[in-house]
Amino acid sequence: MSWELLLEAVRDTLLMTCVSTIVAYIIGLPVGIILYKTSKKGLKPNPIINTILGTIVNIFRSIPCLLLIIVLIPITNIIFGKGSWSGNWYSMIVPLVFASFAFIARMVEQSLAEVDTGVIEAARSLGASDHQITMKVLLSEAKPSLISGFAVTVVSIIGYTSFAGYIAGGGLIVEAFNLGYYGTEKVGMWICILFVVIIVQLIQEGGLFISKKLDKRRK
Amino acid sequence: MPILEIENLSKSFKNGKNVTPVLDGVSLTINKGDIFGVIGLSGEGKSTLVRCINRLEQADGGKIYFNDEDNKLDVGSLNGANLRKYRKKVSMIFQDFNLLNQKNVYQNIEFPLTLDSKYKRTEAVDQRIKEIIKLVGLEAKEKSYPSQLSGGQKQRVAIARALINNPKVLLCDEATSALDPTTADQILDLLKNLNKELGLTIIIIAHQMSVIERVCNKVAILSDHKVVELGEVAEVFLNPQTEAARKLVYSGHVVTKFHDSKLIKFEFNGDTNQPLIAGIIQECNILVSIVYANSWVVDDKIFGQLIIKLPYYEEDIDRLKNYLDIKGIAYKEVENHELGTTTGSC
Repeated sequence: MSWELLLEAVRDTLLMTCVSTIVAYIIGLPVGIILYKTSKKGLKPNPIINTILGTIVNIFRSIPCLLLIIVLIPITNIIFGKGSWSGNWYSMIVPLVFASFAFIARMVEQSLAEVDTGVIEAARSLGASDHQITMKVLLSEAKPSLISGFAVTVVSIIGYTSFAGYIAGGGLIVEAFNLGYYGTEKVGMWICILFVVIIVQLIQEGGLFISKKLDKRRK
Repeated sequence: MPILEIENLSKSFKNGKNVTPVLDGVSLTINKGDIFGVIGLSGEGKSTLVRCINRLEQADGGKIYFNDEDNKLDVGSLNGANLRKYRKKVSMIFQDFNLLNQKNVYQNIEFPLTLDSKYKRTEAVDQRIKEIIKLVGLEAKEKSYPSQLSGGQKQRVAIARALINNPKVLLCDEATSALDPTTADQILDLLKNLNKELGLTIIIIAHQMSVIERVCNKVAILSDHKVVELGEVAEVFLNPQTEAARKLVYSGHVVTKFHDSKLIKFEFNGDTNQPLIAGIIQECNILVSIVYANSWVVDDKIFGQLIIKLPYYEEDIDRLKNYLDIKGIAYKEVENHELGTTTGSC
């Protein structure tokens, strides 16, 4: 296995993961906030919106990523041009985003639900609007939990990148698979696995570290 | 001058088909500068009452009027921006403090100011925050986070946060219930000072008489979701008229084993300067036992009451009454059940 191949695989994994995470959060964060806000104990309970949004989220969570790849090919075609994405790192962006935004939404909802309702009430009694409570109280109080949730999300997205192999995509996991399954370069496979492990460790531990560092509750 | 007028307020909680009344036609007038106590046993709707005042809860019926300078606001009809503006004038502190855990003392106190979209941390604002930190006695703690503070300090932060917008009224929902007695007293003294220095009107919800005694000038007793007694603290405490009030005033003081004895009650209001008990013992040659005694200071005057057990023999009783009449000491014979201890006597 050449260094170029390894570097390319690392680059592909990182690009896929980063871009999907960012886009998935752009969609998932607001959805999670709305899910919390419209829930029974939220700031503005609204069973209709909550049920509709909840159902959509559940649907995407229940379709396995592998199937999302196939189902979402038309959308990938529209965004990147028909056929031209195949084999490129961005071929997996759309399915990764759809597979993870729902997960993110539930994570965010959970993190916000952990914020003490007393604090929310206090903010309200001080004259804060629902929007201000969301921005200045909920998100800020839930920050440590949101960050540890973020680490978990990124790690699971890295796991999802393995499915890139099905549409001729790349990345470390696919590379490791190819080297181990088709090739004879077991060493190359182990190097790829090592890199995946290092990346996952860095993200998970880094996320937890920052989360703890930012958490002012126990010190 | 009334600052809050509560008229016929009612509220019930519905849970499926069950309707639980919480407030049943509560009417109160709170004057500017009052420290108004609302006391009652748990579940009588005290908290709901204050939460209706700042509209954390919406009453089912009745009216609340807030007199702000020349404006008379109908609190129940406020919405959106008007409601938020009103809440800045009627602040609240809580039993569990409810501080922002991820923000330090300074940021917690600054928080209400940041709700103004044009807010900037100017020199003047910084001065104001530091002033209020000093006012509540938290100098050198401004960089601390809530988790590093004691309960009393947390409540001081909550008070500072509630006061930063210069409210007219401060609502205290069991604000000292989670604190040890000494700390609770310090917080109550702080509230009293704020009332004096800033002319702040304070409404205190409590289930302990000691809280009301220490700081309030007026008290309302809630029982069965209604106001059963209302008036000056000394007046209500010296002469509790209802069963509920007697339970609260004498709870834990009068022992039920006196249920078969007759009792006699003296009230004094600071004018008394005679050694009463010593007099009875020496002059009447009767040994008395004190069943209940309490005194407190309201507006720098001492009020108190003393309940003693009547002697066993009729002739002793006559001698005692004679003595009291001669000395011109007012007294009242009371039955044990009037002290709210009828239940559970042994």
